[in-house]
Amino acid sequence: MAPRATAAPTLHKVIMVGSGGVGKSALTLQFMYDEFVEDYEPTKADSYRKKVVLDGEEVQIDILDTAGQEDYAAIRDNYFRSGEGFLCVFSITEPESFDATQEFREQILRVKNDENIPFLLVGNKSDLQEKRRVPLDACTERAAAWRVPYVETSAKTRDNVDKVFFDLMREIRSRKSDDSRASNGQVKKGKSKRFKCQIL
Amino acid sequence: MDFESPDVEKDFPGLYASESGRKSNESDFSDGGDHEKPSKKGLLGRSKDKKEKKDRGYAALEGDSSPEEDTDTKSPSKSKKTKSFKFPTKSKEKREKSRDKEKVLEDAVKQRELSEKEKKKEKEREKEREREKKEKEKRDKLREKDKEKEEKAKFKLESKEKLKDDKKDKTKDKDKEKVKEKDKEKVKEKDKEKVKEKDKDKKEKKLTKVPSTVTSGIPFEEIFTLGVALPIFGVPLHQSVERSRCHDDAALPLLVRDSIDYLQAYGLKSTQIYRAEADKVKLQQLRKLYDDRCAPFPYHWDVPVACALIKTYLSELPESILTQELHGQFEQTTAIAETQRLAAMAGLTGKLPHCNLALLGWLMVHFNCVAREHQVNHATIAQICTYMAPALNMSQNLLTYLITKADKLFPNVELTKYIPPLLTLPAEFPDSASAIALELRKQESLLSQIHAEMHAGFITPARDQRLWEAQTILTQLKRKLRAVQKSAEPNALSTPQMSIEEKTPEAIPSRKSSQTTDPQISSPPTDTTDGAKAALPPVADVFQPEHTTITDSANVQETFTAEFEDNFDFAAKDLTITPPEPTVPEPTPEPVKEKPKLTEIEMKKLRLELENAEYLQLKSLLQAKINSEQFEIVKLRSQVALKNKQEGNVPSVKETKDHTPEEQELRQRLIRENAALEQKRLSLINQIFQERVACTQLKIEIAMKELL
Repeated sequence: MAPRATAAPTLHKVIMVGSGGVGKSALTLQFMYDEFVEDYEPTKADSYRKKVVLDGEEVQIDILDTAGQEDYAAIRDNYFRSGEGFLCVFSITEPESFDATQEFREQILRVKNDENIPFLLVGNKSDLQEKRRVPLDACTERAAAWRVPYVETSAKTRDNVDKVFFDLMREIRSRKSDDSRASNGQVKKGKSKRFKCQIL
Repeated sequence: MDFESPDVEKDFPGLYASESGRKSNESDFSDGGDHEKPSKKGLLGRSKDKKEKKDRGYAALEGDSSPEEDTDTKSPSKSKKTKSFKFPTKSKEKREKSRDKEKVLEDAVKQRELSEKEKKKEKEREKEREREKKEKEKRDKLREKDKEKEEKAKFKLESKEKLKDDKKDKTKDKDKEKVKEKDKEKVKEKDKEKVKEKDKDKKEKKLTKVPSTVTSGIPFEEIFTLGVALPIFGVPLHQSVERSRCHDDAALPLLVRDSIDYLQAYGLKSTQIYRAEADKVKLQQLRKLYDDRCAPFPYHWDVPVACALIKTYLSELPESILTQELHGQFEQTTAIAETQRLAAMAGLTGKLPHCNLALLGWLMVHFNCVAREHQVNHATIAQICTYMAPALNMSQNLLTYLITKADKLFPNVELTKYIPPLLTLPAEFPDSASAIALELRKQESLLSQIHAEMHAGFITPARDQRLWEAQTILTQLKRKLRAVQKSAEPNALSTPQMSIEEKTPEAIPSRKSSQTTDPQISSPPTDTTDGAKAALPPVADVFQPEHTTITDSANVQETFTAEFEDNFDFAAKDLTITPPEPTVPEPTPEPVKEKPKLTEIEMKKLRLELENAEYLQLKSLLQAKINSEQFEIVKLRSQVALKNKQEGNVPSVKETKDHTPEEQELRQRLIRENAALEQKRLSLINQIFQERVACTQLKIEIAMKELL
């Protein structure tokens, strides 16, 4: 993988987590293809790849859209291990999904064993303010407790969709360069190496 | 080396060269067979080759060994160095070949020797200390992973030993071999010390940075353990099919498929086919590559090797390809009068498990093809029998008969060339829906295999990468397929159908993991079922009675067994292993039912394929679970064994003491309770089974409704 990193653009692996029906796929598809799919169709696992320009640098983003349903937890774990950043999505209209973020967070920390893993708490369906059932305070409070950013999005109106992905990529990038500095290794190889070690 | 992250090597490319050298200490057992029988018919050129290799090997090994000797102060086996080091270099050679980069690596090795000699003594100690510090840091983080690996290593040692023993049995002692045999033992003894030395070795090798000649990025020891822990050779047929599957549904191990493909393409006109002695080195390499799930290189293939690979595989199957129960009957059938023989034989083959039938069919049809060309290749049926009968453990009569009647006995077998699933995202996907569906199915099969391997504990960055890659391809294929369908069916009939089908397999696993979710999932279908029945009187007529009772659906099954044998067999096999299995095949008959009602043949075909893909996926998902369970069993067993060793027989002593009446009463009660629980479990399994059947049927009805 090391030689690949030099040849191809830097690759950031992002994983979408959250309960079923909160809009993980909708966010992903909106970001990838500018499309909004109305009808709900549970995901098992889907992965997308896109080249984007992040602060003037061309990078590649791999987005793994996971299943919200517990049935696929086993499959999910295999991916968590190799994910570099996480978007933890819930629906602001559904308190249960907000509660579930706690569990997802713990699961990720358990697999990654790293408190500072790039992570964004995302409250989706912000277009449905009238149906809001998760107060903003609770969201920001939890984000603060986790020391992660909190962003509200709407996959339907595309509000903040790019923002969450780009913010996360920035976090991943800075995380990677921190790691390479910490390991005082060679510039490029160190990046990938240091990071992977923590995965394992 | 097992205690290190694979990434470490990645960042120190020089390691790969050394890796292969060291690795060979572990893999020496497989080398042992290489030269067991000096190839009699060995072409002159080839044997010369071998000599050259050996010479080169010796040259390289001295350099290789010296640093070890220097640092290795504890090793009692020091004095044996010249002998024991034959192996590392030899199999290093192998690696080189397998990477098709012999010369580069060799140069690299020489460079390394030189530089090592120069630098080693001065810098070694300083750098070692530095590395040690770094590695300790890393290890802290890797602690968990390490535990896993330790277990794997233990397991590895066990199975290695087993394999060695097997090898020894087979060896026909000749002088040279005896020497090697000794070496093997020495190396074996050394193995444990090697583990300690390995860290040192690694550090040494890091000192000299040799450009990596291995580009695959797959850490060898990881793959090695996979090959040893879950080998392809020498395990029951169905296991090797699971572990090394053809992703296009042909239920035979990939290696047999590849061999037959090769022979069908290049061997039919060759006079070497099923006759000539194979190059043992190549054969061993191929075998190891397949055990390790690596793709072989064109270099490895030639006609005699392909023949020998099939033969080796067959002869190492623990059970007869005709199964223990049926083998005798097969043999007896050869004595029946010709008029009834074919029918009797066909009856017997029909009883074979699916993968046995597939393998047998492929082999016999292939042999038949070969024999048909006997005027060119001189391989008559008799010749093939002589070559293969011992490996298949069949009488010549039986084998002859099976080959001659292959067309009639295995009419469904078609020797199609295997096209493996795409490995990287292509610029252009196929355009036709059926081609996409086909590739989709392969990718799903591949993906589930990767998941299974990861669940079994074999996690490497390379496998991670493959997982993402396969998942990306899969997603793209799905999208493409949807797009194609949309454009093909402007009335959007197929789109809703698609989505339903995708939901089907997702809802099913939910049943097995959590029964609490059942009502939610099954309730929407029930709502619509009535509507479906009303809307489709003719169709509903056909399967209305089925959707509540299994007995009825079982009847339907029978009529379709031929088409869906694959799934059925899995059910039969898995029933004993894990409860959720039986339901997998159950739904298959239904979709077929509906097909005839649809108008367009294209649609029918596509739907069939899609459904098949979904069920296949589900099947492999369950298979993955089984695999991980199996691995778990192995792990637990080794733990138990370890515990037993540590504790000696203390517990058993205790047990004999405790025989108070209360104890006995308690025991009795527990036994009774366990029996009751077991009963409960069985009935629950049955219930899950029934519910899932009902559920799938309901879903299919919905799909039908949406379609019409």
